[in-house]
Amino acid sequence: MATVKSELIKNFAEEEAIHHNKISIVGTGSVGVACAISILLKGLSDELVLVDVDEGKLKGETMDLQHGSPFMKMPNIVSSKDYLVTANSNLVIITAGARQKKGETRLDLVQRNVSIFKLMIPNITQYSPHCKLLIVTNPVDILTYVAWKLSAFPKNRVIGSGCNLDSARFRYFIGQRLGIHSESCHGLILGEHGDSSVPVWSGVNIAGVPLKDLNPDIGTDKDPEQWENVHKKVISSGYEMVKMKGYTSWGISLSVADLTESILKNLRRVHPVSTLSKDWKKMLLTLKMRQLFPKEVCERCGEETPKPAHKQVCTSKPTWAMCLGCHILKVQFL
Amino acid sequence: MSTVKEQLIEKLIEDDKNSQCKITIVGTGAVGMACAISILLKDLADELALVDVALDKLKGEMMDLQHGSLFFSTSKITSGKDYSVSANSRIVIVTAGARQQEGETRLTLVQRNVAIMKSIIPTIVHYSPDCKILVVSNPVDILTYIVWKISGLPVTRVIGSGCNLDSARFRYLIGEKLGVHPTSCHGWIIGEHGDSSVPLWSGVNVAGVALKTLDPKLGTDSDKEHWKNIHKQVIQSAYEIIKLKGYTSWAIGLSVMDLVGSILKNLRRVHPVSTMVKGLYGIKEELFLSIPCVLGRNGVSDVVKINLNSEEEALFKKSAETLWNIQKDLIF
Repeated sequence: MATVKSELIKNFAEEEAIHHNKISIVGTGSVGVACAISILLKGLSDELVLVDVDEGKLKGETMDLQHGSPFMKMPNIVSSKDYLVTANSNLVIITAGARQKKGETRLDLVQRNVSIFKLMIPNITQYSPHCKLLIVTNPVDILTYVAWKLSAFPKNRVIGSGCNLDSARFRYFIGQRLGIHSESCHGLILGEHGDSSVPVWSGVNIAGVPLKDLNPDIGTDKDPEQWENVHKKVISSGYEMVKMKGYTSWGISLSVADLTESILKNLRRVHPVSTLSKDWKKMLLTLKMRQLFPKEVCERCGEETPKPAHKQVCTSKPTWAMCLGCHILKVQFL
Repeated sequence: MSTVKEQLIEKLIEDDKNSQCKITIVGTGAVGMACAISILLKDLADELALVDVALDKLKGEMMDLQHGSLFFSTSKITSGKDYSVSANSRIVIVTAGARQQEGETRLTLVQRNVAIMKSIIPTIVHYSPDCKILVVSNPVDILTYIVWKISGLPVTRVIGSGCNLDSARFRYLIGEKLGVHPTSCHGWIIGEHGDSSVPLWSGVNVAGVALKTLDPKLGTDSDKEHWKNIHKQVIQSAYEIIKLKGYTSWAIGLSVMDLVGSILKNLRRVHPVSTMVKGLYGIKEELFLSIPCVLGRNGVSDVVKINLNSEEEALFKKSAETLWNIQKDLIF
């Protein structure tokens, strides 16, 4: 029996379309769907896949996005609990995980999210062995390391969204102080995406003019204009918004769309993102934890290590005479 | 001692604080924020103002958008409980109001939202006497009528988002059935943005080929392919999505972005939006229903005179009756 479709349309091509810009987003919480809408509005992908364990929410969000198709050059939007749908993705964005609670630091989230990653990463790499992984879940730097270990991908293909957002906020606040659009204010924040991030004051410049040349005390305690408050504001932004609206979503999603664009279009732009630093063990150790905790010697690797002075980091019996790096290795992988 | 700013920058003339293309969004719930992000990513405004009564949420949302400034071109984003932040807007988008609960029809929301409109519309008009008002809150057709009455603005400048979204859902579902992108599938839904909306099956076409010429039974009960179910799905969509995720936001945000684009850029595209239909299709009361309207700089500048067959006209009149039954008892 002829259908309207068969009467209207004659099929030409025999082969399946190959997707060159397939993006999968794992997690349809506020960050995941905000990333979805930002990527869709920028027209970056030719197929978008959403994955989540909460099937009701996943289906609702997918339907809502699909119903907007006529308003944009929107591609196929697919969703499932099963990672099979993510097969052959160019980029997989991971936003799934426990969310920062009021007053909770990003580091407190670690163990909760490591367990989730152990289930998630092998599923992703099985179906998209050549993809790039973009980790957003916090604490992003540690979880990017975990994702790298679990995926066994070369280090160039596992990226943490890191300080791309911190630097965007930094540039926005500098722009506000100077009455100039953030795009023309250049400045980088490096290191941990969190309380111990490092503002590189020597590089902050407008039109090539370093602000440090105009004010040599910039960023120090002696600075009468107290430019260091700009960096403090960047650090407190996340916590402040969590207090006010319960979570942050727009800023991070725009930052992720920005990184996605660079990756998919091979732009070769420079972004402050979380990647494996040369001396990674030392790097983990020199994170803020060292300042917070008294020093000890790790029984496994012999390095000086901070010892968490307060409650346990994870539920399995930790041996505290270990640095966090070795602890993660021992408890999770060895 | 000179500041870094003074050393770096020499001011030539005063900064012009007047924006050319300001949009205000009233309500920073899921719908308002979806409208906001869509408008920002499409670079439609040079200033965006957010208004709400929940001050912490309002400030948090404003900050979150501002922190993304590097990634879009809207240089000024402000917010406040006081409508003075909305002054001189070209378009004011009203999303504020009580939200549809699971299972609740749009019409039972009415009286709750009438009170809200009474408190906000006069102030909006006071601060932006030349604006166009785009009403999104439900039940949108009745609320657009109320907003029009309270505002005292010409009827062309008060527009309800209406069936722009229903038609988008219609086209999406038709596209799924045919394996063709929704932008190439044409189909219109008019009347109430709700349970009594009217699908115009005679107009449904792809590349000018009317589907009804391929299957004269299209959209009827005797249609073997059950195309009528597509319209049923459109009506059920909102209820279904609300059950699954608690509310709808993305599609309505994109629909609003689509309308705002036509208005601000004076595109004169045709959209099925809610406008005053007294005098058309035999309707005698002052009712707002969706019909195909030409949208431009001044709002609704023209309407397209669609020939409805007797069945479609009967359904349209029924849609009008459903709304009038509620509207006639409203006190405001």
